[in-house]
Amino acid sequence: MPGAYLVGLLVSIAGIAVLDARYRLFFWRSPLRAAAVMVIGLVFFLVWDVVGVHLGVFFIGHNDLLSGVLLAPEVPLEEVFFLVLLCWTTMDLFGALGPVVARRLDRPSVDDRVDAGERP
Amino acid sequence: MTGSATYALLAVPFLGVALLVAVTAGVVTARRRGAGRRRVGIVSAVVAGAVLLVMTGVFNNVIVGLGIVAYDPALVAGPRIGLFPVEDLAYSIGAALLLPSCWVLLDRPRTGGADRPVRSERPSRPSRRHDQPPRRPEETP
Repeated sequence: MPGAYLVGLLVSIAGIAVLDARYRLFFWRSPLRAAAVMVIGLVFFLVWDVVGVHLGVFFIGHNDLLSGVLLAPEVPLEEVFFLVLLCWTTMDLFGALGPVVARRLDRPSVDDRVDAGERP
Repeated sequence: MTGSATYALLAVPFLGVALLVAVTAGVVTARRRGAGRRRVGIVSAVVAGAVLLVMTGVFNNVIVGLGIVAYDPALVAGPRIGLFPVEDLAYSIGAALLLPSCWVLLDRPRTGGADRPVRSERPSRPSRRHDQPPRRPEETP
């Protein structure tokens, strides 16, 4: 089904956006800074993709799941959404781990007790 | 159908740039917030990277299995994780190196001008921050 991959990516992105909003991890913590990081990530990985395509390393396979819209030869529209998902997932993870790691490194003995009581 | 290092070599300059930014972020964070804060950032990024590698392992098998992406067997080294070439993992490593580093580098620096209060989403006393619950009271209905 054409567009199925894009739908899958959008559903996935919606999921990490909800987590971001709920726990204030990335865009919901500092929107401008998050936007800047996202743009840097997209440019970085799109250049990587284009060079890889140019070298002939990877290309679009045989499927009927893509929308058919191409941004460049062998670079489908979906690639941008995949990279958004990759970058946003990375920063959701980093944002969620920061406070946890800080607690563990600062006060491991107290932390274990608190965690045991607070975690569901 | 002999493999080559083309795909692996493609990752080298990108991971090099990402590593350079990460080292810079480490130096800057240690200077701004101390070695303890840098350690928190490094551990967080490493754990995030590990989780990302696992997620990539699942995701890439799906998209290669569905034929969304394919590889020239002559340009990849050969080892595969299920269906996808092991070199694909470089994207996750690059993301874990580059993005958290840019995030901390773009944070507002708390520099010398102590008389001028710096607007920040973080409290000015880092030692108290960890005592706060992860959810702010006003969020809960």
